[in-house]
Amino acid sequence: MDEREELMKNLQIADFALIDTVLYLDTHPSDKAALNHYDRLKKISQAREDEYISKFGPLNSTNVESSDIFSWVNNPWPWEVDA
Amino acid sequence: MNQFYNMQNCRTMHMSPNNNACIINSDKNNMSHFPVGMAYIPWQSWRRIYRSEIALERGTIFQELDLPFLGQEVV
Repeated sequence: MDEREELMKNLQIADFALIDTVLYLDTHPSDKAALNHYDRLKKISQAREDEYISKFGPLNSTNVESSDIFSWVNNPWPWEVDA
Repeated sequence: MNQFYNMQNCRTMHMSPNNNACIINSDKNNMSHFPVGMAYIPWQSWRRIYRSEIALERGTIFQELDLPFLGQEVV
């Protein structure tokens, strides 16, 4: 696994836990422990996303940062991993 | 509804009284005012949360909901 795949895996780890926490909060909106977990994971997920994008380019077509080229068109696509 | 909540950690019906986790009282967990023939799900609480790395592998952050169809306890 190269660094790009590792960053992607870590992002998936954070996002998965964040989304599962959101599902719980849907029915337990004032659960303090769950809200703390949500805050912590949101920061981790955002940081990991920012790191991936800064090193390996946009994760989707709406977070292209460079203004001289629409880098979304560059290879590899975010979901492409070596077999 | 409240007295129903304290039954939520009653995991198995044959829990022994001395570890006081689950006291089975005489009228069969006093849900007398609940209509029969309906399914009831205990209210989930935030506990036993997997580390995120584990959660992605297991498909849930909740150890209580990590129930693979294997027919035995996950060790």
